[in-house]
Amino acid sequence: MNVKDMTAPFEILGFKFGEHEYAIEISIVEMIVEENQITPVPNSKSFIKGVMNLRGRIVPVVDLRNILNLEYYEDKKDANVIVTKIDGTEIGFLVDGVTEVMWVNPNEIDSGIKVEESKYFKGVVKKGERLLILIDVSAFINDEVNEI
Amino acid sequence: MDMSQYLSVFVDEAKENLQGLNDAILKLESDPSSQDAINEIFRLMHTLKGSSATMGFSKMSKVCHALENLLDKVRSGKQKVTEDLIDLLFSGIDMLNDTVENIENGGDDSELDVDEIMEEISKNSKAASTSSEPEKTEEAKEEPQGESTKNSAEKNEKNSEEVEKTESEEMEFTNDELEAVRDVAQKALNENLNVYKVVIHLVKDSVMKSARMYIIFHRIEESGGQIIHSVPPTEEIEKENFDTTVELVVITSMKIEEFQNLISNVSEVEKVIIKPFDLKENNGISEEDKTKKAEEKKNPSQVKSKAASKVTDSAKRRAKLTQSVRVDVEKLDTLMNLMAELVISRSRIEETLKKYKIKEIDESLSQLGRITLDLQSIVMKIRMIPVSFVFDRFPRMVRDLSKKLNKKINFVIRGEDTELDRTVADEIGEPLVHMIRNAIDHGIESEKERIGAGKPPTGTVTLSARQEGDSVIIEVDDDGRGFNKEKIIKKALEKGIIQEYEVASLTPEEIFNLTFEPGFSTNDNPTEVSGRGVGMDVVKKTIESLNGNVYLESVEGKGTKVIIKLPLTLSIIQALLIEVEKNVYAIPISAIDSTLSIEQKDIKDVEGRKTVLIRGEIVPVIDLREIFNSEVKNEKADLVVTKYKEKKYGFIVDRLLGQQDIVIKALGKLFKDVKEFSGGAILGNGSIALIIDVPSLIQKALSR
Repeated sequence: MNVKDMTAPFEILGFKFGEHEYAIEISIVEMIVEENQITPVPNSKSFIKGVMNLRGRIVPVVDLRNILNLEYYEDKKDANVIVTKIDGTEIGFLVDGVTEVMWVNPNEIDSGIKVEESKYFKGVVKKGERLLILIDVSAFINDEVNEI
Repeated sequence: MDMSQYLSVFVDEAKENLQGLNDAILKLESDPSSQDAINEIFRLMHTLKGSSATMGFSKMSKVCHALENLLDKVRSGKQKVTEDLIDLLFSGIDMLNDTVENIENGGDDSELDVDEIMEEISKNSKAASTSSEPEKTEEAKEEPQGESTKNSAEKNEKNSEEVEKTESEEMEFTNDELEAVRDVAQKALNENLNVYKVVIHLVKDSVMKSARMYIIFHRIEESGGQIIHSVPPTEEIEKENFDTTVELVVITSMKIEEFQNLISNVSEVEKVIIKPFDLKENNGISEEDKTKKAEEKKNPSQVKSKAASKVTDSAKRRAKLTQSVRVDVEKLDTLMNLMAELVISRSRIEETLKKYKIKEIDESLSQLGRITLDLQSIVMKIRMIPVSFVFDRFPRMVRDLSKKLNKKINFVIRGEDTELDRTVADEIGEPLVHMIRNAIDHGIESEKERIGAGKPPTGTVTLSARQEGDSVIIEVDDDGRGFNKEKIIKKALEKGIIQEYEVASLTPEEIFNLTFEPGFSTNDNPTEVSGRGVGMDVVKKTIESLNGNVYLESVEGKGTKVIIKLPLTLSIIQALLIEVEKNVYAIPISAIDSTLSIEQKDIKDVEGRKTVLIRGEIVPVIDLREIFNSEVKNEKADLVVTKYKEKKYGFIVDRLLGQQDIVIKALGKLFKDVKEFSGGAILGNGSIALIIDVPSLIQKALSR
């Protein structure tokens, strides 16, 4: 399933930053782990929180607040890391907490609403009263890796 | 049936067979009468034919069949081993090699030009049959004597076999191993080498018997000697399964006295008795064996069965040697990762349990610790392969080169069983090709020139490998013309690599190492083989990317030696762990000169650069606390002095944590512009230490 092609129902994983709820497509998600000692890497890109030890592998952790232009606040205690696999590379995303996995019908997405000035926002998912902002993290990572 | 799952096995085997064929054909070339070599070629070709037919590569199989037919004629003596034949065999092997490579890359054997090789083969056999006609008459002349010239080699072999048989009958010899020893000894004697029977008595209460023996073995081998037989066998010596006496049969060029000196001054050696090895005597057999023989004499009926069991024993041993399994390197990497996980999990359990202070679990925990350590070292060893993996292809390359350049080369390989990490082995092939090509093309002179210089007409190129501590040393040594220092300097000035004012201060070593600079080539006429000004700098780059060093020694008129020093393995390094603002970093020990404690007031400002005076030497320092964006600056700090391009640079850190072996892991694509870290390592407590890339960090700090 690809976010770019939102014509059939697909699954998303919802997660939170403060009071806002966001979502990414589930197909790239490998696992969700509790945040546990992230080692900062000095002089790396601003959106990189650091690296963590995932079962003996060193996995970079991205702080999505940087992409989302959210205000910085102290890290939550029981934060989660969503571990994804994008183009064969494991990348973790630090979030305040995950909410749930849900099916989305194409008609539940409103891509007309301009949430933020970012090309990585793919629209807003309306689930009853809840509004989830769908983010294309694969596109973001690909752009960052291939950037010259 | 779907054969695709066997494809990788086929490719691996085919490659091995082709390598074996290369070796055997080289052997046949150097000794055209060698029945062994012909049989070996025949056997390998037959295997290859069979397996390629099974896999459905009919063209490949056809070519093998044609070559096999050709060999059959050679084997039956209908065709002679000529230079053309060897060339034809080699070109056939090359075609098959290309095909196998094509298959490996997902292709098939359709590109193989069967007709071309068939034509060559038929041409060759015609040529051979016409040229061999006059010989037939010669043979006919000899016919009355009973044997044809072509069979004389065989005849000799038969004769010697018979001789041996009678001998062994006289002495009730049933041990085929000893016959082999005698065979080798005879050959050595024919080559004017000395063969000694050496009896070594160690002192009675020696505590490190196998270590002493190891030293002796090592000395003998280092001096160019060769141990062809040992009682008890080496495996038993390694296990210390012997009393105090060891008997050896040794081939050496040394005289008895020299040899005596070589080994008798090893400590704990009580007595060394050296006698020339007597071919006729019942040599090399220990007293124990002799009594056995005597017993066998008494019971002739048992002799046969014992002999039979001995043969099966040795056959078993041989079978054991070749018992191996092919494993994908990726699987080994996974295994390594799992091992690392296991080690980390273990330390976590240990840390958790420490809180509860349960006595009962201590022993199990330390046991677990030992097992994981053992496992780790075994996994490491699995990744090691002998350098012969790389060296094996060179004899063929040297042969082709020496033909092309019309230079006679004696190519010697030493220490091919030295082991190194698979990843390192994969990388050093190309640099070695460059170095050997250079040695033959530029180093070794033409035959005429050599004779003029009073050197033997055949040039010698030696490729050797050995382990030294945590490093593997690989050397390419030639006895050619060597480098002319003035010529190097002139060239370097021309190319702008050095400036006029620098010349006077250059050491000989520095002058020779100019040849590794990009764009350097001393040969005025670049040839097809080498000398395009690329090569040596590529060699240096590759070696350095493997954390190794390369340098050059040369004596004009005598020869050149290129020395490569490589780490045993790429994935594990010794590192000093340091702390900066509660984060742990690792600095490779190989880059460290020394460490010392300093205070803030020791840091002096010299023209905007921070420096520290260490034993009268002004050393520029880089404050890692600044580079790593730390806000706190303690009054007391530690200084790690590193070396970079022969200069010292100090790194200021919060504190030193200690030395540790760490497993390097890559940080990944997202960190490609963070050059100051070459990777990360997972520590015992599960946290990550970033590994500092000393040269990059220094460069970065200097450019600030």
